[in-house]
Amino acid sequence: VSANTLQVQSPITPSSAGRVTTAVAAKRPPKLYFVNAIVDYTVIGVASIVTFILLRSIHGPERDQVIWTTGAALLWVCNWPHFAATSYRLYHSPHNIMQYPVTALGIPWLILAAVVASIASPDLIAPCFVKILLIWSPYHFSGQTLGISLIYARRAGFKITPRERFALSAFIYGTFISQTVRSEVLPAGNDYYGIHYLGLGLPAWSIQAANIWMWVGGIAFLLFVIRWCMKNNRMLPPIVLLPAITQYVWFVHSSDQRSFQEFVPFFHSAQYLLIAWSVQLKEKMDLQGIRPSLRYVLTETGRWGGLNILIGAVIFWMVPRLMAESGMQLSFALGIVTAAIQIHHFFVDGVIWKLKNKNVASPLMVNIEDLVGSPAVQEARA
Amino acid sequence: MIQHANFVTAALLGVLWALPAAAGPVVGHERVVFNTDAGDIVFAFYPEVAPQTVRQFLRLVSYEVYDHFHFHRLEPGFVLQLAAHHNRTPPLTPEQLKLIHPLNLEPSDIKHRAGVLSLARADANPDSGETSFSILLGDAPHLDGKYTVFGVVERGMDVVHELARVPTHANKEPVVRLEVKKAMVVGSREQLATVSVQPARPVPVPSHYNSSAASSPGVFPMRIEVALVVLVMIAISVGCSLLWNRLPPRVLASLVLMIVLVGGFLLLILFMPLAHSSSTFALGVFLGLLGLFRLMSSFETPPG
Repeated sequence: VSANTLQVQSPITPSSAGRVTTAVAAKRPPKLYFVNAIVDYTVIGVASIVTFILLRSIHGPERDQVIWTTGAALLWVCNWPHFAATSYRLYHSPHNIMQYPVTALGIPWLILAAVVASIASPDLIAPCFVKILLIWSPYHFSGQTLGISLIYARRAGFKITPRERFALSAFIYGTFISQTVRSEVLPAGNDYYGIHYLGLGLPAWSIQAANIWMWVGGIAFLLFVIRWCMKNNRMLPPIVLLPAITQYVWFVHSSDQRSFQEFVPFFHSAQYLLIAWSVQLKEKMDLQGIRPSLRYVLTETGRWGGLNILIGAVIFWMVPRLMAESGMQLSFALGIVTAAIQIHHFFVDGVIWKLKNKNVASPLMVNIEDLVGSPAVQEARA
Repeated sequence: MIQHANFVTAALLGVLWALPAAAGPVVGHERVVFNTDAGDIVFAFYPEVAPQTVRQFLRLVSYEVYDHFHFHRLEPGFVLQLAAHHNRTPPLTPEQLKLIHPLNLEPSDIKHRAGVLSLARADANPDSGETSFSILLGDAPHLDGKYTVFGVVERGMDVVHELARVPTHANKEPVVRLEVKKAMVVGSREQLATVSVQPARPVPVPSHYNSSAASSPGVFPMRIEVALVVLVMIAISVGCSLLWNRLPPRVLASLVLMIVLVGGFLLLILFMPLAHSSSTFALGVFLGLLGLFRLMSSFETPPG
């Protein structure tokens, strides 16, 4: 186990992703990828962009039965486990819970109160609860996109200044605002598991304003990148830009492609699971003094993955059905439970990447070789 | 004298020729019958006013696209609106979905009056109408020229009124599902005579929805909800004050943020219905939500 004392503050959420400081990093620069170029590029963006292109060119824009069924199947293996992984990371250790007691112990009660209030007031509070979720969710996506961009920038040695970070944030959050404003211009609203919510009825000009904000931010960040490349006389690895480009495809370029929109949460979850998986394996290895090996990676992946699939199925599938057993309409129970778990996830995700443990060496800078144990890693550890 | 008689005859002929135009737009041969829980509604169409929309509507009805649609918005005195095809249960088949495409706005001078059929569309895009449309329940001059008027209720306005009597939730959604059980095209008015058109009847509504609270979205029905939310705020505040000396500042700051979150939620409940009265106000609500989320991202931030 590394004896280095570390300060790990690199979250998937962006609040301090640019401030990773590790003694290890000073000794051995982190590798660019969590696994390797193929896996990282695929999960972070290429798979979703290719899927978008394929669906647009072959399938068409509508969400039909095939798309719906495929999306539903992916819920079990990716979307739900990604929520479970967040809760698992916070709640599996009392040490973690005590680092963020209000989030771990206070927020669940607040959300439970919102659930009870939604059940008591299905016409007024439930639609507002859903509204909060539907606007917060893409905001949360943006936070993850920014966080991942900053992690890869750090790994690539691209030191992001506050101005550059502002420009990148403007673009990433601009895609979210552009998408949300477009749907909120309509006052008619829509249904979420049968819970009807109203649109805000924003002014039509706000769409143009959001688009201008997004593009100004994007162009400014590109100029910063070009300047960095010229100054350092090397290209910035494209994976630093890939999360932002991917989110642009998700929120702006594919907004009329309902067949693709069905899979956006899946791709978001896959990004999340790649990083959560790396961190989980690294933390456990360091905490329990486990030697890196392929066997460890496979067994821990199976255990952790299986547990998250199970927890996901219980909270998303079983709990609403138990509520329905008590006489509540199943679709309503599904809507409220889904909203509650997701809002809880937004809170928990905001803190779990800031968890500190003096015995864990920079988990967000981990590479598969650290886990499997390549000769170079063995040598460094010796 | 003869000249005078000719002038009068010509004037009368002119008036007669002009009469059909003054009486309203030309109505096409086809009719569509919507079978609902309140009876049957018969629609006639204006193919010369909105040729594209009428053609597409008849096509979709003939492919059973409108079967199982439902009216999701009811504003007495204004509109009874059919939900879009995305909300159809069961979902449309791939073949049916392929038939649907956005329709260009077909503006006309026809006024939005009771009984008129007006194609719904996105506010920001006049050429985005697809399947959703409204039956006007009263005059709506602010919609004139901005939405495609493509037909009118020919028979069954009493059925429409029965549907419009159903109480609604605060969000204007009827408390019971008002479904189009079956929609069918009838080739002509003569053929319609051979079809059994169901007369108007009341829609069954559960008795607990017949109270006035269900249909009045004013401030008073919110009292209990608002009281509940304020109660949560008070509980957190009391907790804070009791534990003030025992909790670290970071935890206290987070508890205060919880109060802010609950307060923000309360404002959303109160302002959401008002947002529709002013788009600037709606923008304020949206920006307020963004500010709230931004604030929450610093929830329980560690020191340093």
